[in-house]
Order: sequence, then C-alpha cells, then structure tokens
Amino acid sequence: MRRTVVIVAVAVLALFAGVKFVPWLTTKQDVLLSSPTSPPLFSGQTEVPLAPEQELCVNPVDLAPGYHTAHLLVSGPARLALTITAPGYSATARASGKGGPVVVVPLPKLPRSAQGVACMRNEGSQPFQLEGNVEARTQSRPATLLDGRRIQGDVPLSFWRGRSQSRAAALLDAIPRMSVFKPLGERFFWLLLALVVLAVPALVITALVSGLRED
Amino acid sequence: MDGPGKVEKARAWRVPAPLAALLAAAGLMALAWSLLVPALQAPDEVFHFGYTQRLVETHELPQTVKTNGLPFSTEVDTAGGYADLIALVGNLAARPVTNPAVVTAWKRANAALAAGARKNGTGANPARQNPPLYYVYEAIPYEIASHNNFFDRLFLMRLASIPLYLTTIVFAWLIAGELLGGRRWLQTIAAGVVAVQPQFAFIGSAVNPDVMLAAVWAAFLWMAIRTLKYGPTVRRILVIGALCAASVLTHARGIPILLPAGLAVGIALWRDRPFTPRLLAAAGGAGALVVGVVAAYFAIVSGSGGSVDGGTITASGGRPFSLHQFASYVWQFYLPKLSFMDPMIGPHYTYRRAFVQTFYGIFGNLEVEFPAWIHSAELWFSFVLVVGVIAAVALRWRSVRSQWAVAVVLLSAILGMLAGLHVAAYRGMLVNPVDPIIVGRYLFPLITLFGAAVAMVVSILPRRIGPLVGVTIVMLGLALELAGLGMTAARFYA
Repeated sequence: MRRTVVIVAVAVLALFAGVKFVPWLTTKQDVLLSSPTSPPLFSGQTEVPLAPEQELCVNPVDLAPGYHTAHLLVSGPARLALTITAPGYSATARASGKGGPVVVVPLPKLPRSAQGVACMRNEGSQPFQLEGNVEARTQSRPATLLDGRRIQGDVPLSFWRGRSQSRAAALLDAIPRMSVFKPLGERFFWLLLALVVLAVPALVITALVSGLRED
Repeated sequence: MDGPGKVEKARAWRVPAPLAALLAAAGLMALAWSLLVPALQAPDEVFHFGYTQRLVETHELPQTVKTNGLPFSTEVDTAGGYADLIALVGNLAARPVTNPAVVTAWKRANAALAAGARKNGTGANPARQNPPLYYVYEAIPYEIASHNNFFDRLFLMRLASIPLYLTTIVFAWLIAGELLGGRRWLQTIAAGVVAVQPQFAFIGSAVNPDVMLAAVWAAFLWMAIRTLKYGPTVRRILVIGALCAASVLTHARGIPILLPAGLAVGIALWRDRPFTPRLLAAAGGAGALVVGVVAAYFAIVSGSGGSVDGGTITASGGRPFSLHQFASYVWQFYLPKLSFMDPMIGPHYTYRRAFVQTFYGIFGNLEVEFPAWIHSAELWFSFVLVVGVIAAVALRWRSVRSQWAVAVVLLSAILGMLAGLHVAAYRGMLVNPVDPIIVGRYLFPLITLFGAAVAMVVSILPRRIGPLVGVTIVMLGLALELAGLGMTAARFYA
C-alpha cells in the first residue's frame, strides 16, 4: 500500500503539473518590469491633451538595464519622442501611434539602475491625448509635469522587457528582484525555491505514507 | 510522578511523525508566501499593520480617530510611496518597485523622517472595527523589530502569524482523532487537507486576524468535543470560556462562538448531573468572563464606523433591517430566485463566489485567482463533499446518534457562523449595497471541520480505495497551492 500511495501521490502532482502547470509556465509573453505610474483600477480615467511641441514629464521614474520598451497609453494617431534622463545619461527614442491605445517606444540601452525622468514630447502636427489617471487609490509617487508645470493625476507609463519570454524564465529572472525590499537576500530565495519545489512535496508524501503505516 | 507516568505523558506530547511532516511542509510554504508577497499586498494588510503600529507607538486604540488624515503613519506612507505599494493593491497593471536605486533613495528618505513619523497614523482606520487581541499579539514582533525598518517589521509580523496557522493544523489533527476514532491515516488526511489549503496558507502567512480566529476556533472545537465526550471538568469549562473570550476579542466574526460554546457547556453539565459546586462555579466564572469580554468588545468598537468598513455586526446608519428582505437575500445566496422575490440586496453574489471560489484560493488583494475550470472543479468537489458527509452520517447513524451532543454542537458552530456572516453582510449592505462583504476566508474558523469532513467521507470508502482517494485530494490541494504561489509570483514579478 505504501508504494501505491507514493505512486498515486507523485502521479497526481505530475499529472497536474504536466497537463496544466507546465503549459502555463512555458507560455511566452512580454514581461512588465516596472510601472512608475499605472492606469486607474475602477474609475478616474481622464485624458491629458498634448499639443504639438508640448512636453509631459513623469518624475521620478526608476530605470534599469533590463527595460527595453516603454508603454504609453494614447488615443488617436500620435508621433512622439520619449526622452529618458538620469544622472550622467540622456537618450531619446521616437515612436508613432496609429490610433490604438498602447504606443510602444523602444528604449536605448540603459547603462545602470537609477532614478531619472521620462518626458514625452508631441512631435507631430496634431494634438493627441495621453490617458490620465486621477483615481486617488492608484496614484503613485512620481509627479506629472506639463511643460514644467505640475498637473493633477498620473499619466500611465510602464517599462517592459521588450521581448517574449516564458513565464518560467521570467520568474527565474525575477528572483533577484523578489528579494528587494525584503529582509532576506537573493540566495535565500533560491534556497526557498528548491525547498518549495522539492522538499514540500516530499514532506507531504512522507506524511501520507507515514500516516498509513502508523494506522 | 512515577517513571511510567512520566513516559506516558512524554508520549502524549510527542508529535506524531505524519503531523510533524505536515507541519514542516506547511511551515515552509507559509515562509514562502510571507516572503514572496510584497509588503501590504495581503487583504487589508496596511490597515492591520496600522492598527498594531498605533497600539505600540502611541499606546492608543485606533477606535479613537484623531484626524481626517491617513490611517497609517508617515513611515508607512513613505515606504509605500517609494515601493509603490499603495497603488499596487489589487492593481494588475502595476508592479512593485524592485530597483536598487529606489531602495537607496527610500533609505535616505526613511532616515530623514521626523521623530513622530511612526505615530501619526491617527486617521480613520477601517480595521478599527476589530477588537484588539490579534493586534496585541502582533505588537510583540513589532516591538522586537522596533529598531528595524518598516519592511523588516512587517515581515516579522507576518512570521508571527505562522504559529497560529500551524496551531490550526495541529487541532485539525486532534479533532479528526476525536471524531474518527484516532485512526492515524484519517487524521493525516484531515490535517493534510488543512495544511495544503492554498487560501489558508496565504492568509496564515500575512498580517491578518483571520488566522488567529481560525486557531482559536480550532482549539475551541477540540475542547468542546472533548468536554462532550469525556465530561465537563473545571479546566475544560474554563478553557472554553477563555477561548470564547479570545474569539470575541479577535474579531466580530468570532462572536458566533457563543452559540456552540453555550450548547457544549450546557449539554455537558446537564448530562453530568447532579451539579457539583466546583463545576457550577467554573461555569459561572467562564460565563462572567464571556459577559465581561462581550461588554468590553462593544465598549471598544462602538462608534468605530460600522460595517461600511466591511464585515462586522456593528453596522449602523443604513436602511432598517427587514426580515423579509433578509430571508430573500439568504435564499438567493444559496438557491435560484423564486418568481415572487425581488432581486437580492446588493450585487448578485452567491455561495459560489463567497464560499467556493474565494475559499479555496484568491490571492493578493483578491486580484489573483484560479482559472474558471479550477473554480468549476472546486464547486463539484464541494458538492461531492456535502453529499459524502450526508452519506457518511447515514451510514454511521448509530455512531452519530451515540455522539448526538457532539453533532449538535458542531452543527451549531457551522450554522451560527453562517448566520453571523449573513446578518453582518445584510446589515452591511443596508449601509453600502455595493459591497457583499463575505469572502471565503471568513469560513476559516470552521476549516478544521472541512478537513474532518474530507477524512470522514474517505473513511466510508472501501479500505483499498479510501486512502488513495484521500491521498489524491491532499496532493491536488498541494498542486493548487503550488500553482497559487506561482501565479502570485507571476502577478507581481513576471
């Protein structure tokens, strides 16, 4: 019976993992790495018009070498430049939106982790609208500045990996980030991963086998 | 005590090997949850932290609202601002800040905070509807880590919830032992089901009073069963009184414990006639303690804002209570609406969402949940479990009848808890019809009975099949918990 219990327990776990969890882990998608400002959760969506030559800045934003694209939410056709500035570093990238809400701006390689400023400039001849967020509960720390003057609310801006990656790879890549703002370091997270994946199932199966044996 | 007596006592306290293995597994998973989930991303964690902080830093209860400002301190606001923790709550479009450059900036800002930065969270804290026992308990890790920063303190407070979580698993084992004849494999299944329950592990590793309520009820149910099975003693009656007091002082949702407790003590004393003065004195003492604590509860939480804050029995200020509307609401919560009924108060929110989908697993601030096919499987599992329990009771009717008092008290615990939840939810919706209030974790005080129910059902299956069905259920629970942990990690970091 003990052997049967082990076989059944391992089979249940393997079946669940194989049929559902592995496909989920191997699904490829772009990875959202940072959201200095985000869209509203429930209500409070507004539009921030950006006239030709006008500039809107989000300050501060966090920057890291792994950020390859920035996503902006824009309505209507738009031609814009995104300038990223950090101590000792400045770079500008350009992108056009065809009317869809998300404009993806490829970022020049960022040299190191830093706090900086992201500024969007309307380089077209027509005004366009940036999506804004005035929902109190989803306001973030960065200030929004239109032509240098602070305005109310956030303008959603996010930084992405910029390429598809399986969830498993993205999660493994994220382990160093998981330990940020935590009392234990990256190494402990690797150890914990091993314990959760290997030791926990082994302990549960041991308990089940032992429970049957003791009866 | 003589030698053999000592050996016997030591043996009684030895942790059985299956339970030890389950506790080790559950402890590791709880540690993983507590580390993986970013600060303040468990349900209402910012408010529970704020309550404890106010208690420790100002020696005041948060029921006294002093300002129109935030219910959490400048220290929390600063950490939350830099790590973007407040905007992150429930918001799938947001990610926690994980940039070392921001950590450095936060450390500078944190070091520059004024002396009173931990003391000024004196605004209206929604958790002020709760009595203070859990927060007094959490004050210990807070105080121990008081020289550390906010993140370290919060982490230590999360760790402090884990012993309560593990205690509940121990009592699931003990309760199954009392109900199912001390058969080890059934105890293992019962405790195993509780140990791998994904939502319970998630809440059990966060700063949240629900885990203390679960532990208190688990201990109470075990003591009530023993009192009914082996007769009342002074110690048992006083322990029941103390656990009732703890339940009432932990959360308003703990008040329904008074129904099964009153029944358990009343039936036990009645069966033990003639009354002895010592037992009567113990019952009187326990009763006085409970009355005093209930009075203290109402004194503490009165004027605290009522159920617009979610899930209490202190609602006030809304439309009047209508028995007709309440009955219609409860009917439609479980059953289809009948033609003559008005639509239920609030959103159409039924047992499926409240007692199935959000019971087995919903993580973060309710934004991470299993896909529809798993919800569907959970629903079918729950139906089969209910039918299985009915079949088990029918098959073991003679045994159930001989323990009728235990059955009555356990049933009263279940019905009392459900009635309490529905009354609180209905009264809450009279004030704020948008929030249906009940979520699955509110059933955690009964989670040991969930484990016992699974074990009871597998116990009626043929001896060759039963253990394998039990093993399959526990392993599916573990698979769900691992999946839940992975989904939560992906929500925040991938």
